Amino acid sequence: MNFDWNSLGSAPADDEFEVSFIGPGFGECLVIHVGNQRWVVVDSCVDTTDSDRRPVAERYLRALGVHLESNVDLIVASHWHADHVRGIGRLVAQCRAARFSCANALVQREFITFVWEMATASASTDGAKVNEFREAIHHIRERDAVITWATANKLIRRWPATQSTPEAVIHALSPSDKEYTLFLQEVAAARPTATSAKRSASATTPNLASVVLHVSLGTSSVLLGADMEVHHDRLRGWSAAIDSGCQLALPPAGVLKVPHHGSVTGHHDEMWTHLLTPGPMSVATPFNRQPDNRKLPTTADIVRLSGLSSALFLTSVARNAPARGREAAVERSLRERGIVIRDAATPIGMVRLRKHEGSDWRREVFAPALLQSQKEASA
Amino acid sequence: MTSALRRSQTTYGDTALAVSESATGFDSQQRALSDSAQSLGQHDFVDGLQPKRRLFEVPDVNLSTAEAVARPATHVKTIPQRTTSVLLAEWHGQVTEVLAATFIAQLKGRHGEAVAGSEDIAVIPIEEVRESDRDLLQTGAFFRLCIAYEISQQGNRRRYTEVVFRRLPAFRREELEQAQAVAREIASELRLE
Repeated sequence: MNFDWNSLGSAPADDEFEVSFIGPGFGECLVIHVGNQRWVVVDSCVDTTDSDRRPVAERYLRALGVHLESNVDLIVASHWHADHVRGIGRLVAQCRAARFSCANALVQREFITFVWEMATASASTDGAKVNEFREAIHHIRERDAVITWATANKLIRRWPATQSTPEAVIHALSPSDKEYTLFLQEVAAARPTATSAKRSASATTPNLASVVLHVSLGTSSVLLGADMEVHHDRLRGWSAAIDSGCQLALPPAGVLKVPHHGSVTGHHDEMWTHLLTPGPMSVATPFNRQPDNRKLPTTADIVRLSGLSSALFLTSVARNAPARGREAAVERSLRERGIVIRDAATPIGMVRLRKHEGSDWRREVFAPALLQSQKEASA
Repeated sequence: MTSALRRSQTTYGDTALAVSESATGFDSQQRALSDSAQSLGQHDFVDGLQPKRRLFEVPDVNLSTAEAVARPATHVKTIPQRTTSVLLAEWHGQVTEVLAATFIAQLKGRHGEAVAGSEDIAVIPIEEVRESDRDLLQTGAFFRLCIAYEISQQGNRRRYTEVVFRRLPAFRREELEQAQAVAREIASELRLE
């Protein structure tokens, strides 16, 4: 069933904070209203049921009547993974007033060279990831826009308070300096050489170099965990991001975009105790493009996250693909050869949180997104 | 049953060599093929006894109970025939992870009822990959998975499944140098803050 983009109501009031989490089971996109019809988009995925494969942020904002060309103020690519950058080139092209932000390593000459080198093979390898990045860079250059590179302890954007709206601020908590260096070393090692066979550009370990964001509007804050994972080295991964958050003395966030699709590899106790209020609302974006036994979040992940959150939402569900009408002979062949093929596409779902300053979050869930668990309010 | 025995019927060009299983196993079949081919003047087709292209196989046939068992080990017959193929389903795939006995891939459906246009995730046994393609099996590699019918002139229908890996051309020095020059220019022009 296709997502009903016409059932989403109207845009938030000028003083309303909104964070919408959109996820089709492969990919995620966060759309944030920081007041006064200024919008921020973090990451991108596409509507695969749409013949034009438009980015979901474009579809959502147009459905609300938002003017993409002037009202989107910032687009952030948290890291360079297919499930976070699909459609970002088109989005950058349309949001002509938007600044672009990504990890500092991604705008260094070494990485740009890698992208352009790998793009010489894109005709043979479909080149999806490098082409998205190239397209984004192309449009940024074309209009001479500014790129705000993200790194730990960095203020990404500040919108001053107005008569109706409090100040809005976005800080980056990662990647750390060490991660920056290691990422560029990995890129250097992955660069193609003449006579080596063409191949697709596969990311090495970009999760640790992803951009964790802290977004606040007035007294309300959200923590966007990207795909950040833990690492035993205090200077890397979540440890470094937590230290960054503590150094910045950021207010604890009441809402969490669960890191790395709820995986235990993204769990760090100190993230919950140092960067979040007790029992925050958590939203996880499932990662379904895996065999059935490896989809994220797992049942154990859901139990863990439910125990730590006042409410846990999933933007989509891990589902067993139903029989899809393939020919019986095809099914027989697959069975005989031990080949298992599952539908990778899962429907888009959305969780929308809105609040006025001083009030509670108003929660809206658009199927197949769901409220996975909720704790009873204490007396 | 070894995969070699399961692949007991192999087509060379427009000549099929139908080989029966025997109690003496695959080696005797190989000798039988060799003897027969030489006597038939088929050296070009069976050079080294390696099929140039496996066109179909008969996974459904239980050779231990098939009629062929009763035949002598050296029974080989040639059946001049023309065959046609009917493609049932085709996917283009990219390997995302290689495990011990299987690999995981993302598939895009190219042909077939409820296949064309689909995006799938697949787990495929490594034994489905030809020995000659095994060196290509690595993360990021591209392949084609197809299921088809082979229909002989007599109307016999055989179903086969193939996983064929692509051998991509090499990067060229000139292309890379050109890309590096463009990248240098872009990197120097970006407005960063």
